[in-house]
Amino acid sequence: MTIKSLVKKLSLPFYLTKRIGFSKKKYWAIRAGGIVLAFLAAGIVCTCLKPGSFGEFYVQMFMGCFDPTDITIFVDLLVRFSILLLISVILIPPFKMRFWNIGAEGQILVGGLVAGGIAKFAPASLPNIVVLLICLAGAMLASTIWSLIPTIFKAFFNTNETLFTLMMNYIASTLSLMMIYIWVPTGSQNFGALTHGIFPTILGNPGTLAVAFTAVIFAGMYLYITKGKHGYEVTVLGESVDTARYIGINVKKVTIRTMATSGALFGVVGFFIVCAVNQSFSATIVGGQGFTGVLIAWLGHFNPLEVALFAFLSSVMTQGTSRVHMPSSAQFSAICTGVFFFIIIACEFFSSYKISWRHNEKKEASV
Amino acid sequence: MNYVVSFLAMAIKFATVFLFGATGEIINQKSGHLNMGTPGIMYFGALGGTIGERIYLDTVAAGQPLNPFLIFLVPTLFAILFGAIGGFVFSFFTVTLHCNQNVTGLTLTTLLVGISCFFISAINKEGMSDAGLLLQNAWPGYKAAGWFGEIFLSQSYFTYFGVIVAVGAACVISFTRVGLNLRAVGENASSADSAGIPVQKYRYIATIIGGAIAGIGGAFYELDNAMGMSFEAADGIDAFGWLALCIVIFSLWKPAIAIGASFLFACLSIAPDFFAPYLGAAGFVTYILKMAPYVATIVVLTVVSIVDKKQQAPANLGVPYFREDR
Repeated sequence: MTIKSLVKKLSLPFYLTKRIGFSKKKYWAIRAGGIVLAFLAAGIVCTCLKPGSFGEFYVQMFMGCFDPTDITIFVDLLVRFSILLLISVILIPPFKMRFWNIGAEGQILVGGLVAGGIAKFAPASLPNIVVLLICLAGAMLASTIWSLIPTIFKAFFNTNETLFTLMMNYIASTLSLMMIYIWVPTGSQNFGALTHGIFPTILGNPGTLAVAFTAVIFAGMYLYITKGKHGYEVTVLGESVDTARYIGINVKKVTIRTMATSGALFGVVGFFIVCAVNQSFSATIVGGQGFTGVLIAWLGHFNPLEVALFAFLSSVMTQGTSRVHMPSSAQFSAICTGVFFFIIIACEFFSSYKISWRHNEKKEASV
Repeated sequence: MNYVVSFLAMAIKFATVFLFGATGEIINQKSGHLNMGTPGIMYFGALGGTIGERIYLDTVAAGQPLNPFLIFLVPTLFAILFGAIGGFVFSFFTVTLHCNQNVTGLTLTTLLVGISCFFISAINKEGMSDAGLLLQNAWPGYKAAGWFGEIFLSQSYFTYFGVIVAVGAACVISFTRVGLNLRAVGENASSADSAGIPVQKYRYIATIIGGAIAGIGGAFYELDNAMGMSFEAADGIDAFGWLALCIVIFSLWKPAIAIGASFLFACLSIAPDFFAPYLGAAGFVTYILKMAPYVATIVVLTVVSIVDKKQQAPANLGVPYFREDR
């Protein structure tokens, strides 16, 4: 056996090359195809689990998100979308500088814990708006501290931030359980309905005002990321630490400043979740959205508008599938969301790599 | 005395779940792949184990005695199969499709936890609690050996198998050529590639074997600790998966140390429930104990990063390898 035939035998029938200068049209065509495929796949999953429910699934899913007869369902979707969007957008700056912060869950939870604690114990004589402002300040401070702990170790000792922030999530969750144990004498797993320091209920949902504030924060983050000097510094740092140093960027300072900013904003998210959306506090109140935000920020290529699109699609997927009539709808929703993200991730591959078949190459060579 | 004995016996039993998860994840991370899908894979292994046990229980005719070894073997084989499938999906996405490992891992966990919860709750659990009790009969006469027997011989086959797997993994990683190549792939994939080591093949195999081992841990918890009775009881398997990830860091990527670390983490995990009745007003202490494993992991992580940078994670951990990038 000659070496040539051996190589031929061992090599795959195709090889990969990185795509450079990929046209925007093609890129979006692949993405759109992926999104359609992901929604189709959810329907197929549903049909597999409950035969003959393919058409029914889409009807129930649509009604679970956009029911024209009941505005509160759409408001629910908007509130869900706003929280997810905020989390994903706030994660963009750290990810852009390649700081793999997967501790959003814990950073939000700590902010929510402080906001909830203040709202619970605030004297009833204080006006609601004052309590809300104190809650907000407390939540921002707590979340900033929580996100700065791993950051300082990363900046000074290069400690692995992925694992550190992951641990901080569990500490935050246990801390929340402990504070609930201390503060709630009945042994209940949550604070009970807060009566003070809460947002008003508009259109049947206490989170409606938070949606409005989210729009403002999103606009601010968009400008911060795409137009400001800070956003530029973060981008350079992510591309190459050495380049950043050569052009006079203080790496430690930028790392700490970026994480402090995103920490403070996570405090705002925690404040919204506790004082607006749930008007209560429990250790599971973030419910994995911190992790979903990581997926969305990455799948949106750190571009705020693309992130908004994926946050919306993901919210539709989660809310829609959780309202389809299935025996255990929470698990069914998790399956559909998982399949949805997997298909989008797979699309990522087709838009960043090109597959070339070897037999085509041979033909080209002979011509 | 009795109290200490039952505490230690329980801790060893609990440590088994962590040990499988941590050993699997260490093999995984040694190849340079940080698999955050491990909690999901452990859950998926639990689903495999439950299916395996159902199949075995269905083949035994009514009234016939159950064989404790087969109660261990059949679910384990299924758990290995399911865990390997989970590992394969992860490696297909991260090795072949070059996807981000954190993103793929988190998605895999979401998906597999959903699938496993959905189907485990649908499986008929009849007879599984009896089978769970039988599992502990690896050495039927253990009571004759006094406290030693109560602690070390009252365990199920899973526990002994877990120690064998961890020691085996430690030997393979430290003393064989395959282990050396695996470490090379994890430390510097492009150098390994230039030395003629098939990087992709190593990463695939490491992830699949790692997934298979982690899957056994989930199956053990479901079949023994939760005794296969209710799936709510098994609700926390993914939480054990995250703790297994902590153990990997805590034991500095060494399977032999992971045996001790698993035991320590198991002690901390079960201590709150053991001590809760005696604490009275100081009940919040149990939460501090629950926090301890995570804090300890952070301390190890930071101390190692300050003192000795070389002892940290494999250098290429989380870095995808694409030959053209060089």
